[in-house]
Amino acid sequence: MDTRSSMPWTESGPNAELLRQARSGDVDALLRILDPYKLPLWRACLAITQQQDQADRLFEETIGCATQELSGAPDGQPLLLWLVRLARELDAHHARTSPRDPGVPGEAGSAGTNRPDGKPWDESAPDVDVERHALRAYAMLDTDDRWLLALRLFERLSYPDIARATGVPVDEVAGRLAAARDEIDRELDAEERAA
Amino acid sequence: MSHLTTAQISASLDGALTGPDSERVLEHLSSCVLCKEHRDRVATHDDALRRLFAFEPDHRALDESARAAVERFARFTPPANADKPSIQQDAHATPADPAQPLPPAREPSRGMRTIGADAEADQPLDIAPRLDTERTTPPRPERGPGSLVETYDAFNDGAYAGPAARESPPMLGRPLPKPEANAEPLATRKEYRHGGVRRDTPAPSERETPVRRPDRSQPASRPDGFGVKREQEPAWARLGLQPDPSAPGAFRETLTGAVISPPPVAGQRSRAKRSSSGRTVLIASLALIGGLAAVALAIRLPTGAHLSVRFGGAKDSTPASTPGSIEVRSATTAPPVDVAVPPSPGGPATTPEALRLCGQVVDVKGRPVDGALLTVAATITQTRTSADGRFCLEAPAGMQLVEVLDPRGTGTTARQVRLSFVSGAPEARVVLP
Repeated sequence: MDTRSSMPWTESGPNAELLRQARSGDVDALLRILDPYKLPLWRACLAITQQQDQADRLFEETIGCATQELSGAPDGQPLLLWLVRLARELDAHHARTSPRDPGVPGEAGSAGTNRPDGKPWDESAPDVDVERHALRAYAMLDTDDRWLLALRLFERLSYPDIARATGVPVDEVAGRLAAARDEIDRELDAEERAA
Repeated sequence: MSHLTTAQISASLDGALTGPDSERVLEHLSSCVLCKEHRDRVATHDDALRRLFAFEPDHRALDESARAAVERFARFTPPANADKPSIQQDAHATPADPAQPLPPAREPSRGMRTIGADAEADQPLDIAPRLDTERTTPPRPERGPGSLVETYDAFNDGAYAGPAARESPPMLGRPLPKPEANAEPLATRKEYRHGGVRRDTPAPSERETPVRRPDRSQPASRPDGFGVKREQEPAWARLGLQPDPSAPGAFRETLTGAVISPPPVAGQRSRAKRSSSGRTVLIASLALIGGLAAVALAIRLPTGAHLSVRFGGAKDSTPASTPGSIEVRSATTAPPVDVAVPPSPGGPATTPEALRLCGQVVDVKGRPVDGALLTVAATITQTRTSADGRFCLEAPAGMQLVEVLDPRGTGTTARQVRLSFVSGAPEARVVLP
C-alpha cells in the first residue's frame, strides 16, 4: 500500500516533560512540542478548507486555541489528533456562522473557482476540467467522508492507521472511502453529461 | 461473472486487498474492460485531487505564524527570576503580579474574530467552542488554578453522562469547574455503572434504601392554595354540584338545589372520541390503499409499457438486448413483468468448454479498426481490438453472437456478427461498414 509515515498520527504523544514545561508556561517548550506537527496540521487545514488562505488562517487559529486549551491536551495520545480535532471544530464553527456554499461552477465565490493554492486555473492544461470538477465534487462531500478521503489521499495513511486516527472501524473506513469515491465519480459523470 | 463493486475497486486502488481477494480482482480486471475503465476513471480522480493538494506552504511563514499565534494567545507574567516568558494557562486565574489587571472575562458563546487585522492584533481573540448548550448555560463558576489534567480525565470518565457534563466538551479539553470545598474528592468518589455510562448514583435496583418520592396524592400545603391540582378535586365539585343524600348517584346543584342527572364517569371515553379515532384509522387505511393502487396504475396503465428484466444465461429471442440489463419496451398485450431466471450455477446444467478465437476487425477498405469493443452476447466477456485491429475472445464452444461496438461512430450502435468458436477454427475477420 502506498503510505506515508504515519508517525505523527499514531505516536504515543509528546514528551511528557516538555508538555509539563509547556503547561507550566514555557513558550519555547510549547513551540518545540508543536514543531513536528506544524506541517501535517497545515495540510489538514488545507484539506478541511480547500483554500490556502483559509488554511493559513485556520492553522493560526488552531495553534492559538491549542495554546489556550493546552491543559486539556490528552496525555499519552497523539497530539496531532487533538490539534486536528480543534481545527475541525473551529472550521465547523466558521461554517455555522458563515456557511460555504458550493455554488455554481465557474461563478465567483463558488467551490472550484480557484485552485487550492490560490492560483487561477490554467485552461490550457490537459486535465484542468477533471481537476476542477474533482475539487468541486470533493467540496460537496460529507465532512467526515471528506476527512477520511484526505487522510487516505493526501496523508496516505493505511486503512488501519485511518481507523486508529478517527476511531472508525477498518471496514467502515473502506466502505466510506468507496462511497466517497463513488460520489465523486457520479458528480463528475453528471457534470460531464451536463457539459 | 459479475462486475467489481466500487468497494473492491477502491480497495484495489489503495492496495488494501491481499491474498485471494487481490488475485480475484486482478484477474477480473485483466478480462473486463468496463471494470478496468471504471478503475482507471477513479484513479484519475484520485490523481487529480492529489495534484491539487500536493503543495507545501512556506516553512518560514509557517513557523512565524505558529510563534505569533502562541505568543498572542499566551498571557505573559512578569518574570520572577528569569527572563524567559511564561504562559498563564487559565485566563480566569489570578495573575502572579497583583498590579497587573485581570483580563476581560470570556463569555461562553461569542463569535470568533479572524487573525490578521492589525487593529485587533493587541486584543485577545475569543475562540469559543461550538456548542448548542452554551446559549442556555448559566455562567460558570470561577475557576482557580488546580490539577487541570486530573479534572480533565475525570471529566472524560463522566462524559455524556448528562446535560451538565456536556457543558464542557471533552474534545476541547476544557477543565471542569473546581469542586466545592466540602465536596467529595474525585479520587474517593464511588462510581456506579448502569445505563451504559458511569454515574454518581447507583441504579434504582441497587439502592440500599428506596428513593423517597414526593406524595402526589396530597395537595401541597400552601396557604394560598396555589399548586393544588384540579384532578384532586372531585368532578362534581368542579361543576358546582353536591351529592344528593336522598338519591344515591344523583346530584344537586349547590346554589339552586335542582336535581340533575349524574355526570359521566371520569376516565370513560366518549362516543364522539371513539368515532373520531375510528374515522382517523379508516381514512389512513383508505389513503394507503389508494396510494398503492396509484403506484400500480402508474406502472402499468398510462404508458402501456411493461418492464422486462433479463438475467444472464437466459435464452433470449432478441439477441440485440444485453444480458443482465433492464429494458422497458412498449407493449399492448404482453404481460407486465417478464422475468427470466438464470439456471442455478450449482445445478445439473452443463458448462460448455470455453474456446479461444482470435481475429481482426477491419473496415470496408481493409484497414484495421483500433479500439472496437467486442462483447459475447451470452456472457459478459469483452475485449478491445489492438492498434492493428486484432482481438482474442473466449466463449463457450459453438456459434456465438458477438456485438461489435464501432469506436468511430457515436458509440451507441453495435453490429452483431456470429462467430464460430470451435477448436482449430481459422482466424475470424469482421468487416465494419
